[in-house]
Amino acid sequence: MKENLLQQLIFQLNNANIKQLLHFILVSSVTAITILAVSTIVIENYSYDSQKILMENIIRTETLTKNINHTISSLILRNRTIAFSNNIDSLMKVPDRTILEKNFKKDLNEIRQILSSEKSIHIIEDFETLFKKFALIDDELFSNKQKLILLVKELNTNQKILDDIVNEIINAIDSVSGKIKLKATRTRIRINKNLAVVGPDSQSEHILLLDNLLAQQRQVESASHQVQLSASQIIQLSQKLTQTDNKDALIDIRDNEIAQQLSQINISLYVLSGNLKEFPELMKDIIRISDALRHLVKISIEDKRSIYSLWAQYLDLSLFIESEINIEAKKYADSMANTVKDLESHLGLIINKHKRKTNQLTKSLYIIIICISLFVAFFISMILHKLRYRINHPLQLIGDAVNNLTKGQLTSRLDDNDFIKDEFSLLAHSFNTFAKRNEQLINELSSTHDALLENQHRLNAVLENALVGIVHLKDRKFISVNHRFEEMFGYDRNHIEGLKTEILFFSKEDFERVGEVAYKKLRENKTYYDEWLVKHKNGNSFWCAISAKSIEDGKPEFGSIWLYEDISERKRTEEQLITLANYDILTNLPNRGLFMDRLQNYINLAKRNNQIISVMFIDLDRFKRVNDSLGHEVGDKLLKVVADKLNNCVRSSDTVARLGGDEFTVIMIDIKNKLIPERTARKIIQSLKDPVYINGHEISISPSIGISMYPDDGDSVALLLRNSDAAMYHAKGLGRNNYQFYTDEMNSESLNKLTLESRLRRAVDNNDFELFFQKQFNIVENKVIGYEALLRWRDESGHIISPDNFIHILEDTGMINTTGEWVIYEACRYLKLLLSENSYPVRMAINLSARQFQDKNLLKHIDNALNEYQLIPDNIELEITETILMTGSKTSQEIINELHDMGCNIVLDDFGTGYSSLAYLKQFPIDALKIDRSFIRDILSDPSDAAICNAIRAMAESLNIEVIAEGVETNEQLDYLIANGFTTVQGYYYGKPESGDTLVKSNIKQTKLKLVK
Amino acid sequence: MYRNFLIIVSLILSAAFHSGPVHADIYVGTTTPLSGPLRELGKNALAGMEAYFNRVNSTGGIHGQKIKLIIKDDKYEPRLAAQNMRTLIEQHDVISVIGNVGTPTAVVTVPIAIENKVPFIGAITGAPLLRNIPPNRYVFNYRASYSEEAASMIDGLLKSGIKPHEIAFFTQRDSYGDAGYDGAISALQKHNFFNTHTLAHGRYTRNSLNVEGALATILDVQIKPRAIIMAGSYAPSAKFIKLAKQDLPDCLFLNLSFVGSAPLLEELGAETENVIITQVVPGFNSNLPIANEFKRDLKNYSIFAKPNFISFESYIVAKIFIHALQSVKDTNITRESLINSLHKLSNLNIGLNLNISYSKEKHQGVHKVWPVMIDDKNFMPVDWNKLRESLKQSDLKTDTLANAP
Repeated sequence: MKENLLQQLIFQLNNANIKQLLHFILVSSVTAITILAVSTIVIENYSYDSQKILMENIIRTETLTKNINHTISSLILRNRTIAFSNNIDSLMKVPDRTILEKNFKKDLNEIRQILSSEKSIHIIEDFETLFKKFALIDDELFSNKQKLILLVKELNTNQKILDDIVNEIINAIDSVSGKIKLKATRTRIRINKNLAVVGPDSQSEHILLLDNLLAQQRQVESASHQVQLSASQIIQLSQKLTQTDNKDALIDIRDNEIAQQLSQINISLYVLSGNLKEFPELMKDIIRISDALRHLVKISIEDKRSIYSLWAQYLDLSLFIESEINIEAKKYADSMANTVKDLESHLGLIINKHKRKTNQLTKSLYIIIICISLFVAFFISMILHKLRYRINHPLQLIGDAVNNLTKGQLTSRLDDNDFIKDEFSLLAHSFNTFAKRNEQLINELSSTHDALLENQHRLNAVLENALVGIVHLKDRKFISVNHRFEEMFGYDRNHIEGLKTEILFFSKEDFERVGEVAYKKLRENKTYYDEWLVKHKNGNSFWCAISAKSIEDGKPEFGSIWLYEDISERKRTEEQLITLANYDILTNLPNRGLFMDRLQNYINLAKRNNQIISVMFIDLDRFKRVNDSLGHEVGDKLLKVVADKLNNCVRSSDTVARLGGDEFTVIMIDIKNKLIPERTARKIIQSLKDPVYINGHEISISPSIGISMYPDDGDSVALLLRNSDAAMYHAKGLGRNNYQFYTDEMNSESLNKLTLESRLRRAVDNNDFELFFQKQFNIVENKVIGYEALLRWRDESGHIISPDNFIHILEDTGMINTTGEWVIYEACRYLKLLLSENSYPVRMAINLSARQFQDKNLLKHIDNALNEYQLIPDNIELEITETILMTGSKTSQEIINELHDMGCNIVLDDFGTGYSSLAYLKQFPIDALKIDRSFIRDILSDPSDAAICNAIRAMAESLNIEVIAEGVETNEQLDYLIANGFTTVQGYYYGKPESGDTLVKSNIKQTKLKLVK
Repeated sequence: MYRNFLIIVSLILSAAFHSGPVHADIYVGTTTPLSGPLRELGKNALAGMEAYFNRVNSTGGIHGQKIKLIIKDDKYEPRLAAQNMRTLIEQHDVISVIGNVGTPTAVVTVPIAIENKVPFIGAITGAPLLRNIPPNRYVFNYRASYSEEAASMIDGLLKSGIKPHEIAFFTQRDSYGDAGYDGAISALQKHNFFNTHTLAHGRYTRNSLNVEGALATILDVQIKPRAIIMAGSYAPSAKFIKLAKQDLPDCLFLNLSFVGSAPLLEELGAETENVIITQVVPGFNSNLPIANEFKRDLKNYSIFAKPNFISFESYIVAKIFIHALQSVKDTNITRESLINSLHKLSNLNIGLNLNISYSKEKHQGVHKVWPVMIDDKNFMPVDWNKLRESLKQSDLKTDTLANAP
């Protein structure tokens, strides 16, 4: 039957097809794995269970054994404590045994339940017997020990009683001896008294009586002493009794020493009573003593509870305890300890045995598993072998046929008869059909191939030479790219084809965004167009115009054509345009337009978010002077430096803008309070404080800063700007180089200035200026030697405005150049008129402003004016201020030198108010200097002013420089000046400045008068 | 809920802490002979203190706290007294030990008190060991010392015409007897008598009645004493006086206060003539305010209704003690605060017609001694000068007898 089954199996295997064989393998593998798994689990479970049982039992048994060990130790300790306790308290403090006993029995029972071997039962039974014996002995020890201690206690009580008895005896003896002594004394006194009164016969009788009495007293004393002594001896002996450690010594003390003392006491007592017979009152004491003595004997030796018998019992008992109970107890304790050890070692044996058994079982189970595995493996490999043949053989045949096809033998076919009817026979049939069809196709293909090739060549030429990158994409992957694309992005087409277009973008987000937008369009059958910053292979970025169209209408999934055009150049141009429109070219700061735009945006934002904005208007103090004296190139560089410094002073979120000229603004957004702009303003002032070096010039510049706050100072760009400007002007008014927050009062002030400026501009345009002239007098010769031309502005309403009020605006705005030129011409014109009328030559003093020295045309203007009015340079004096000299500008120095060389007189105006450096006088070709009017005004009242004037005059004289005293108003001043050697003066003393027309008229009059004369 | 709980807890706690010390009792201890030959002394000492303490307690106590007197019997045995002291201090945590009776017991109890820093106040003893100079911080006395009593005896005797060599001594063989003897001897030396060793000195054993030997010793001396200074307890003293009167009918017997006047009087029976006792308190039958107060309180607050010198003394001690307690400001009275308060007692008039002051340097309440003589069962103040007159008469009598053929 078994054989049949096997044969049947082999037959089946031989005839099975591949699928069936695979089934066989699968079934047998699963069976094998299941068997293995089940047996492993069984083994594992078994060994785990037995291990667990073992472990649990072992741990439990070990714990129990330990407990028992501990209990036994406690019992032994308790037993020892009893043995060594020596008073009733400590004995009573010994813990109760019942708990320990209960624990012991409980633990032992539990062990008995766990361990069932014969040996262990034997051990446990032994243990119980031992314990019972120990308990008995322990009880005996305890009760005996208790007895012993009670004995000791009783002994102590007896000792105390003894003490009391002795005290009683001593007291009684003291009483006896005292009484006998008193008796003797009294008798002696009485006899002595009687001796004096009775005759000699009875005298001797009395003496004899006294002697007897004294002898009696001595005997009583000695006997009392003896009694006292013996009594004390007995006490000592009683104590000695309790110190003996054997019974023989005890009996010896009782029968010899104590008995001896007792007989001694009896003798003494006899003596005492003999002596005291005559004193019945003392007999009472003697009876007291003998009673006490009897008591003493009783307590010490005679009584059943006497010290003697108590101690004898004590000795017996302690001997018994020591020799019998204690030894026995110790023996049992030791045995119990040994039994615990036996139990422990027995436990060890059991554990080992158990372990061995488990290991053996596990091992045999493993062997079974291995056998099963081997059998299954053999069976499977048999099937596999069969399977290999069944696959290999037909494959070989098919392979050969395909090989033939490849070689071009298109007629190659397979023979059906070579195949068993299975999967491969189907394959062979299909192959034959395929070979036949293939033969037909190949023939058709070769004819169309040539035509197609030609067409493709033409198309490629167009694509490859296109000026935009053309890409064929499918699923956002490169199918093909053209040459331009390769050029643009730096990829080789061979490398790129098949990759995703993501490589062209800087981020996945960009890529996805493009995909999303583009494919939406393409699906709508529209053309996609956008501009993106794309990535070259080398990582560079450039702008690209990307357009796409799907190949099939609205179906980009079938492929799409993408055009890439490099538009970087165009983008650059656009950006430049934006920058130009919004940024200041010089400083790269936002310009006015961008500033306004940003401010508007910030205001909008701030309105929404309830934020505070501050606008700072910064004007550089005397920047025009820098421009004038050092030239625009330096000025521009300075502006750049200032721009950088400003940028460093503000937060990154703030905007620094240049409105034009030397005006900067700062917008600070989202600030909490005024402290932040205030701090920034201070920072700006501080950072501009350090001098700047440009083209070898050391330039110091300071700002005036006005600050307005949104929303407090205005809610529009225009208002904020205007108010910060007003605040700035206020700062300037307060001495420059500071900052001011806008307040409402400032506005009118600023407005005034603004209107003044515009009015002045109009005045320049309309030439609403006039010249007035002030006489210069030679006080020695008492004649007019010249005039100073003074600028006056006659405004719209006809008011004459003095230059103090507008000259700085002219200078700041640069209008001074125009006006200055006019002044030169006009002065020359009047001089010509005056000279033509005057009998002697006079000169014309013309004031020049620093700004005019920036302009090389100044020389030309002067030269032209002189020529036009046929004047010689010596006719004019050019008045300059120290500030012009101070700037140290090369241009101004050259101009001054050239003017002097031309023959013009150079006069230093307002001398004494500025630095008044003598070095200038040497360095520059100065012909005359004007002492400032302030010195002349106080020349009489202030000695130091007078001293300065005189010093200047003396110095000027030594340098051969003419001195002109300005502002002479009184006769006294004039006298002083005359007296101190001044020659030329100027001032109201000689009349106020006159208009040109008036001057000319009066001159004509004078001349006419002279002529008449 | 939780908050309410907290409030309740805090209330309970504050109540507990607040009321605790107020209602606690003040424990005071005494160890005294209540059995044995000196039991009468001990009982009388207790009576005086209890009378005053009960009165204080029934009228509200000290700051609301009751005085609790813990009483221990020491049988006049030092060993027991020491045990009692330790029990009082360790178990009962007494604030003070007060009114202990006896010198031999004081020998052991005083060091224990000092060691444990427990005030030891008003002991019924005049022994010098309680009267160190400077005083120990924890020991306070009311009564005059034995030396002062003995000195007053010597002074009085000499004033009444008795010569120093006519004085003999009968003393207990212990520190009490020594104290009396030494006090008298140094007083004699102050009176320029230096042959003190020739004076007869009979001694007897404490707690015994064996006085015959002592009498024999005194009689053995050649010169017949006219006054015997006695430092003993009442029973042997009475026996001695009775015995001695057989041999020395006119002799004066001068007893230290400690003898216990009342029991002595009782023991002596009819033979009270020529017995003088120095007292450390004035007569309780006098008109002093405290005497009346004492008798009234004793009647109302004590079961020992009979007034005597010892109960009067302990009553005075109790009164001084209560004064000190009352002047402690803090309700939580400690041993140290009690001592500080005692130190501040100054010019205290408790009705004795003399001021009592204590200070850090002075722990002795009074130095005054009141000698009394028994006259028909009453104690009458001794007038030494009058005594001199009566002695002269009896001298004459004796001389005539002596000189009779």
